[in-house]
Amino acid sequence: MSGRIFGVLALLAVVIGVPFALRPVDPDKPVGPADRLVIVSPHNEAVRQEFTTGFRRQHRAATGRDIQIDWRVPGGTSEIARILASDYTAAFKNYWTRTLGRPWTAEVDASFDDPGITLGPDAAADTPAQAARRAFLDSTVGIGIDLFFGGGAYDFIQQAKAGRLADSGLLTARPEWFGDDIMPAQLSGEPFRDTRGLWLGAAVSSFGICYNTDSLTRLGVPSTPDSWDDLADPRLYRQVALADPTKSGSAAKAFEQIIQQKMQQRLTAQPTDPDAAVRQGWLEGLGLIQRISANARFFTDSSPKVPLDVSQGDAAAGMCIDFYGRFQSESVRRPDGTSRLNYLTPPGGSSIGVDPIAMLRGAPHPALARSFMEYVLSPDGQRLLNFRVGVAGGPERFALRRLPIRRDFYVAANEPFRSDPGINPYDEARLFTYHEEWTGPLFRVLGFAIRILSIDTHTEQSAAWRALRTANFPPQATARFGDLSAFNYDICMKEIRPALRAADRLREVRLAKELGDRFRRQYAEAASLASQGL
Amino acid sequence: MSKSFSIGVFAFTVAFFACFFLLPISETLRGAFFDRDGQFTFAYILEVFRNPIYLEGLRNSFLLAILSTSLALLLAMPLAWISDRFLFPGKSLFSALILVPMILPPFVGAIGVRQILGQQGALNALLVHLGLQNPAAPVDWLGQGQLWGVAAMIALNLYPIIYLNVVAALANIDPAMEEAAENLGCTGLRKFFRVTLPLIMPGLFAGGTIVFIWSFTELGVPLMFDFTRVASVQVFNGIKDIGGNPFPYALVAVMLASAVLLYAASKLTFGRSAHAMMAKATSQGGPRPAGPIVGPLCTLLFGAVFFVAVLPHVGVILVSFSHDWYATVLPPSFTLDHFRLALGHEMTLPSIQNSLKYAGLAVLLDLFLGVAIAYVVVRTRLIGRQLLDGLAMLPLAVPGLVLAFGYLAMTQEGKLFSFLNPVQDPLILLVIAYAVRRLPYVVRSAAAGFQQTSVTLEEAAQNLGSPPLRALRKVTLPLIAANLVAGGMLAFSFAMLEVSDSLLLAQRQQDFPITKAIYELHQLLGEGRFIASALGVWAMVFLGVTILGASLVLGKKLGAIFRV
Repeated sequence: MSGRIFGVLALLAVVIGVPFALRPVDPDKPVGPADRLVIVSPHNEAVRQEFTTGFRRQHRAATGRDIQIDWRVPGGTSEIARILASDYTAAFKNYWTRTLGRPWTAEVDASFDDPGITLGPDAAADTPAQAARRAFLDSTVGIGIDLFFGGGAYDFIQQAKAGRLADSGLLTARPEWFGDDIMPAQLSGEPFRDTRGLWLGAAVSSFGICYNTDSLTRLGVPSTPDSWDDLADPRLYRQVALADPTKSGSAAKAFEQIIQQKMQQRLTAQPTDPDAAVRQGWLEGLGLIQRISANARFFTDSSPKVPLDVSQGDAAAGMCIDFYGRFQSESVRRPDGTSRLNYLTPPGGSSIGVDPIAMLRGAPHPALARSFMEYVLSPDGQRLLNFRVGVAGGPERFALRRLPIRRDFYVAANEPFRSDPGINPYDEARLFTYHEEWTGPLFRVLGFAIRILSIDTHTEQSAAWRALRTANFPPQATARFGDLSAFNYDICMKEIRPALRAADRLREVRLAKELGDRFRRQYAEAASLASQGL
Repeated sequence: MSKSFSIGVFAFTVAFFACFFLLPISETLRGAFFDRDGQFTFAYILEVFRNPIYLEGLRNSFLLAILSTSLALLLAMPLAWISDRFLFPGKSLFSALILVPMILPPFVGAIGVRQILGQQGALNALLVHLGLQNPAAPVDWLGQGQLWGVAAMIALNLYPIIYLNVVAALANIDPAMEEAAENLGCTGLRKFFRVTLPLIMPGLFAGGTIVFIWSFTELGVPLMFDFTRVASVQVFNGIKDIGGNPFPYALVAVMLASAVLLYAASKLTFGRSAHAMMAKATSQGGPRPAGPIVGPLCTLLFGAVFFVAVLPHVGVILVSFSHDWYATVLPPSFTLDHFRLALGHEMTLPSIQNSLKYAGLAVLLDLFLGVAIAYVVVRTRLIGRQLLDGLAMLPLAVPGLVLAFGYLAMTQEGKLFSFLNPVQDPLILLVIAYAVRRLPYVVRSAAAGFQQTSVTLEEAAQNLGSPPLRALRKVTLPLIAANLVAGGMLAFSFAMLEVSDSLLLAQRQQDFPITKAIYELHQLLGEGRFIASALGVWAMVFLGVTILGASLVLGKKLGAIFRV
């Protein structure tokens, strides 16, 4: 009996002892008092660790003081967005009721961070909603966090509009950095920073296609994909892994680019009527997305999942962020230099977006926050993003394989040290120009449309697509499947967009149900027509 | 126990629930009941019932719960009965091993499943190798027969909950009851259904309801199979929607209400017939040698269930030792590097310490609350005790994200509980969060124990001059220790593997529990899944040794718990 107890305890001691024995010793770790900086971030551990080490060194050299970075990592961008919204509401409520001594009402709650509320010059003439908004924008209400680092431009634009970001002053302090030769304000139509400096792009990325060559061969797909259209190949039925446009702004952006590419192609074909080209391109793009998503195995908001599943053969192809795709391709490379996973940015099918950094309103340590931002955008910080581990100026433990935003990084002198030599996003960006005015107003509508066409109705859509495949796409059934008249450009602009922006959220819920019912019916009819060979 | 003391216990537990369960939920669910102008409305709730997609989601969730619970019962009942009645080769080992399936670490569990069942997974590779499958047309195990696949996976994951509770219930049966039945000519299956089954009903109900409500709201497994038309996945997708619509919260409210109704219905149907035992299993009870044919058959049955149930774990273990594993039965090469990186990562050791601290304290809190609640529910006639009983089951039915966001909201600056703000120090809030989410296991186990132990024993002690609390401590608690250990062990294991609260509430690296460390490592590019698997394996081994230890050590000490 006691022997058994002893045995179990000894085993337990070994199990707990191993991590003790292996625990790392960090000679750089500050021991005494240190400055403190609080950063909320969706960045993974590798990015956080390398930037902690790098900035700690830089800060020590510049000031002789230690710094402790308090990373707040509550999950991905959607969790961060919710926490920021809810914490700022609580903080502002505190300020409004306790400091200003005013009553908290549903109207104040709804208005203080509402970008739709415009302010006149005269505060005395403010409605209660305007007064709340003005009080918030004039305040230094904070939530104890200095910086928001990482995510997509979409997330930062939303935060800036709500009034939760503050100007760090970096834009005016380092004017020599913010010209076209180093960090342009925009590239091929995509903003690279906020015009007032509320957020600044730090790295760039794009969406592309990753595919598993084994799976494609097995499925009888002869050529490797080189455009988004290839993902709609019916042979890829239930083999396509997609990013979820309803959960991630960057994924929604990628779908938007599919549409923009179709609009562009239309415009090239009929340059005389740009309005018609935009309208037709919208429907063609949406149709393509509908067919791609009919092949979908899943929609995910986990960025590594798509390249991982594709590399493991659980999906044959997918839509993924460029550096995830390249990295995964590299990590399953065979000794002969080939890889079963390949990544490609479809030429002309993807714009370059940024991964920004911003200071939050009421940041408790604004000077340090600015100094961190400056470090991230400096040549030293940028090198961490794409240099190999161990080379001078490179990261210490993890190759981050991100693409720096600084144009002056992409020079021959840096090539030998880079993890991804030869890749220059500024070259890739030339193939695509984003036209904000075409789809910008419909950004949320697009996510909503994909949800209705495919995510909510995926069971029916998938069944219909299988029936169409089996029947070799008979014309009537195929037309029924692809009838997108409910989402034509004008309806989207004039009916769906206002419903999604309405204060009464029930309108959106009811519209979703109505359209969802319609497409479920439509898919069922398409399946039935297909089974009759019509 | 005196009435005023019972009322005190009742008031305390209700207050605890009000503060740390109802309040956070109401913080999150408020949006489902109030429109933009702050007016109360049922409109969102009604929309759930008008929308066929969400109705189908609810229906599938219900179906899933029935299927999973039935399958888990089919697995657990025979094993528990065999374990209670027979001695067979390898019994003490298998009795502990059979619990291992429930300790599948999150995130990496999915890696293991995909590695085994994926299109290029080990199973297909084996079938190709054996000539049973055309390599050009591998079976898509995860993509086909989703409802059954999900149900089977959940059942294989959760049958230990029923097993533990039923074994504890069987151990509580007074052998004299069955002997009396046999003397009166009731034997075999008839004896089982007429005598044994009614006697173990509290334990069966305890395990069954937990599995039922758990599978009704299970999120991870349907996501693994990309099975999206179930309510839990619809809620998850809705909550993460960047559009920020209140609708998913209405769906949560409906799920919660459904869970309560289902629980109440099952309680009315199965949970009422409790037969308390006067004597503890002391006499001739206990397992007997199974004989040369039945013995090995028992071993085989245990072995087979164990083998199937741990396939995902085997997947995770092999991934953690492999460089790359693709389209082969076993990984082509092995390495220890991932363990060095995982266990040597600066996050790892503190996260292990944190997890032990959070989970350990949470279980203590659970035992205290669980015994108190079960006592009030079973032993008193206080009005509202059934409500408390239902409340104690609800944490199983609330999606983790909903509760976690609620905790965040209720501890913001300026709110009543701002002193618990997890960003300053998440210890108290995480312990409470873990405890609330795991409370049902302890409450159910303790309630089953109370139901099976006659109150007359306690009354006798009181008659002999023992104060009520002392009588509880000295007489009843030792008698239901097996149930408490079973419940506590479940609570500890699941607290160690807790995800939602950990991800959201532990925001600073120094506060990360081990699940968040696994998640963070999992997010690393390239080798992330291998390193995360290695840390997952560590967690499995740790929990495995703990469970093994508990069942070996306590098994002897308590005599009855697993009869090993």
